[in-house]
Amino acid sequence: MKHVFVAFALLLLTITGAHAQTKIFREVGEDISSSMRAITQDGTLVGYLVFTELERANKDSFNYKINIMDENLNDIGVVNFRELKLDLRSVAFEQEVLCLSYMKSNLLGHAIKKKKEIREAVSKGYMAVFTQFIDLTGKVLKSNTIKVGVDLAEEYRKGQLEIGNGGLKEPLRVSNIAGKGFACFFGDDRGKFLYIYDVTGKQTWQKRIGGEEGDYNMLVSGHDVYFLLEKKDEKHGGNFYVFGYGLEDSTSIPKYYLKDKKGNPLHVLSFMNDPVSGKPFVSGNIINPRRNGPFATIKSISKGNYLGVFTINIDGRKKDSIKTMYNYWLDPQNPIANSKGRLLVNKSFLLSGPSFKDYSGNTYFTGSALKRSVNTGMVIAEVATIPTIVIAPYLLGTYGTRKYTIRDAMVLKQTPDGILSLDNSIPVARSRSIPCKYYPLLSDNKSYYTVTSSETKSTYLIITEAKNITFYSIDQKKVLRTIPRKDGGMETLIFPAKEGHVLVSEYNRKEKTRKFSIEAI
Amino acid sequence: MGLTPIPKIDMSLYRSLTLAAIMLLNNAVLAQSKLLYNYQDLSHFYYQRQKDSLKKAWNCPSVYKEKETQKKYREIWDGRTDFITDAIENDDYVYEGDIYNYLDGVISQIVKSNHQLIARKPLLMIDRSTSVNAYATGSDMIAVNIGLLAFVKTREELALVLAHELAHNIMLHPENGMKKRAEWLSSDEYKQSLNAVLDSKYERLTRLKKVFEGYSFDRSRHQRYHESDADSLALVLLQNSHIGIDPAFFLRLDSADIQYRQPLKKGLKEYFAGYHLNVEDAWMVKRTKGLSAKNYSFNTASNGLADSLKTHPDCQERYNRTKDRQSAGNTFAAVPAALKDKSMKMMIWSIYCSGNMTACLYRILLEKDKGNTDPWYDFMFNNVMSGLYFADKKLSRFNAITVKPKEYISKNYYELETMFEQMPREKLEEFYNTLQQAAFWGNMTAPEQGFKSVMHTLLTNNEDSEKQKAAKAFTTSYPSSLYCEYVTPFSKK
Repeated sequence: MKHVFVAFALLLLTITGAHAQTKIFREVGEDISSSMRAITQDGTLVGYLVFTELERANKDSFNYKINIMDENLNDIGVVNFRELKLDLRSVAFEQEVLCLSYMKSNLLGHAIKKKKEIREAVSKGYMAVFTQFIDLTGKVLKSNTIKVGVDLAEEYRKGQLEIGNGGLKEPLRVSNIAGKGFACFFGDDRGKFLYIYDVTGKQTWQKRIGGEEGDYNMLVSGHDVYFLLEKKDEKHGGNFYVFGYGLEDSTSIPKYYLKDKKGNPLHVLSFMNDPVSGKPFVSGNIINPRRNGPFATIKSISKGNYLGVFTINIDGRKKDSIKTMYNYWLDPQNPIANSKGRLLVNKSFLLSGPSFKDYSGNTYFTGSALKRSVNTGMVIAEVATIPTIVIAPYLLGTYGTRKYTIRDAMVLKQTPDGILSLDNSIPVARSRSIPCKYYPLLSDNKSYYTVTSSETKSTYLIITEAKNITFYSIDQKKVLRTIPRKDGGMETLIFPAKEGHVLVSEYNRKEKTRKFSIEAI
Repeated sequence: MGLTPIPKIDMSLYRSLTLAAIMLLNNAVLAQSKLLYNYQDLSHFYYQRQKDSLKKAWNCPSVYKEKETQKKYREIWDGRTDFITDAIENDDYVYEGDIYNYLDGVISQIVKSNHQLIARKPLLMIDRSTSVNAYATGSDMIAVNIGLLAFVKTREELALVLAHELAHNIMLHPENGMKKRAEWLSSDEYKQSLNAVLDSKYERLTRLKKVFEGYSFDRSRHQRYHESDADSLALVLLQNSHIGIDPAFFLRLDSADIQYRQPLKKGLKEYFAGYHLNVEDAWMVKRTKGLSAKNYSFNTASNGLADSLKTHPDCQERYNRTKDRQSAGNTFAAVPAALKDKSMKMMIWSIYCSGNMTACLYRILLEKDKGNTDPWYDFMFNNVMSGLYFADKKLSRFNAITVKPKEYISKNYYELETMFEQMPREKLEEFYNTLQQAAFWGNMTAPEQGFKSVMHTLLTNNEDSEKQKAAKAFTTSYPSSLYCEYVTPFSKK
């Protein structure tokens, strides 16, 4: 059931364990490969899917098996089919139909040794986007193949037997459209493309969109699809704009450039649908163009690379439906930090984690407290070694006089009225002190993600650090539970799961077994 | 009407009465505490010597001149020994005197009346598995699952199964099976078929599976040919033993593995209300947005039935083949109620120890449906709720629920697992606290009260050392209690 990932491996192991001829089992086993994907609907996880390439079926094709599991990891069905080389990218669900999007190729997956044959195969070969629509009886309703423009020779050079992203400039992704069907987006050498399908897999319309290079983020919101495009800006970072289309008639939604009223660029932390209104919002940091660089460093943060935080609610297609909220650190009416973003309460900077909204319309900015202070021990060492002439400058040059530690997790709250406050400081494991100069590039010692429950209208923050995993309730402002990541011979990891739950993976080091379960927070 | 004066009694009579009352009370306590087996009756204690002697006694005979075949045969033979000894070590077996004696009585009767076929009485083991089954391992050993004991109604039904397993041993089916497997695995045919897979460029897994499908079909442990033979010989053994034959048992086996499809007589809420626990309807309605709530019908679900007698050849077919041998008169001896009760309790405790809280509670509720008012089931009801609460605290509620696919369970079972999944954590705590005050605790013996205390420490104390201390105190105070099986792991670091 939960061990479907290893079903075939187990079958082979069982056979292998009992009988000889290990070579054949090893070779057949090596041909089998599996990948697991979450099945999503309206941004919520509704199940899991394991895609397994079983064997080569003939010169061109492979036999595949899809194990479909419900949101509790129980097997509910199996679908077998034969196709060219595939690589599953994402899965969406709408009206009892699964839409699976793959990269497909008639070239990759085949090892060719002779150069002449490779040239010929590349000239005849293609890369394609393959969408497959399967209903809950296991019937494949329809499949669509769209050939894409990529440098096939380059992809073949990179790896003959794997497709991966297939050389697309914008990775393939598929989302459901509530009550309608599916939106499929990708970008190749020719441009960016949006394909819309109904639930039978029939193409409703398609459009070449955008055109500008950058990173695209797709968000289906009701019957509109929005794109957040981040154009490269080496100097300041934060060169975003939002645009979109009506999904029913492909009408364009005009571009909205992300800048505050003073023209400062914005750095996006979150682009998602509001859990109450279902409309998109963007939230993140207001960039100080004079201080910000392409990477967050201890220096850039302590010099004030961000001026504050923002939320932009996109409540409609027209520009006057867009509502903005900007909070600057140095708000004279409600100062919570100095001009550089050092919070007054704990004299720390916010090392940004994810941002999100709760069910009361508040926007939250989470992250870790970054404390910068004088490295007293190092300063003493530097002073003490001045007579040596060589050591002191070396110490000064290598380690400097400042150190930083990453401390508590922090939650900043921005109310719908635009009031910003430090909502809570959650005591979790601190990092060791690191000399600022020695290791200027920042890496947080914690990772964050959120879990929501629309039914109880609750929002939770999961904080993972080296020793523990902390479950924090945003609404109750308290830690619900803390579980050790390592307990005796057990190692625990947490992954996203259905609403209000987490997928708990427990690895027993002694028995070398892994157990999965879906647990309520 | 005046009050009758209380007659004067002398002190010696008073002392005698008090003594008698104490004796009676002690007997009652003793009877309760000896409800089931002792902790030391679990196989890793009780069969330790048998385990060692099995290893020595089960020497692989030299059967084949070909080294490769003999080597393969030894591997399979030793695999069987390891299977049994590992099961003993893992407490998969248990010794329970009354059940053992009852089973032994039936076996002795069959062996005694068929001494020309059965040279000596086989080693009998009681397997703690809940599946309705028994098995012959060869080399004069048979095992009977506790699930079979709980299922059979009459001594004759049990005898039919035991005779069937004895027949397997008489006809050397396990030994012959091992030989056939060794011969096949070292045969040219097998090697060629594997090499053909290796030589093929395409469909290697399909070809490999076909090789083993052919092997399984021909050499399955429930091979039809063997089972029919065993059925036929079983009837002969029973006739020789003058034990009545009831072929209708084969038909009853059709329901052997659908215990969890059996509906409850009342709504779930009513059972909980009996303990002053208020179950909300909303907990039993799946509120998920996930696929489990959708109308899927892939017809490819791989979760079949557990290995049981039902997985033998078709029950109807077996009945048709044997119905002519039905004993006249139809007077069969019912399995003593005390034994059935014991089997059921052993099974429920075993399910509890395996951590499946839903199945455990469902069995308890099915017992209540039979009108069983034994307070031990109330104690287990409490244990399930505290066990679920404990699992939830350990972030393991899902594993404790052990969701079964809805195709294999009743509407009530589905409601119960849904309720366990969806009831809020605070309610679990509330249920636990309410059950601590329940009236049935007044009927519980010291080990049960001690177990309650350990569970309380596990649930309320976050310090591992305190949990360890409480568990150690229990195992010291009640070293022979069967509850030590659950508690002992907590007493170790």
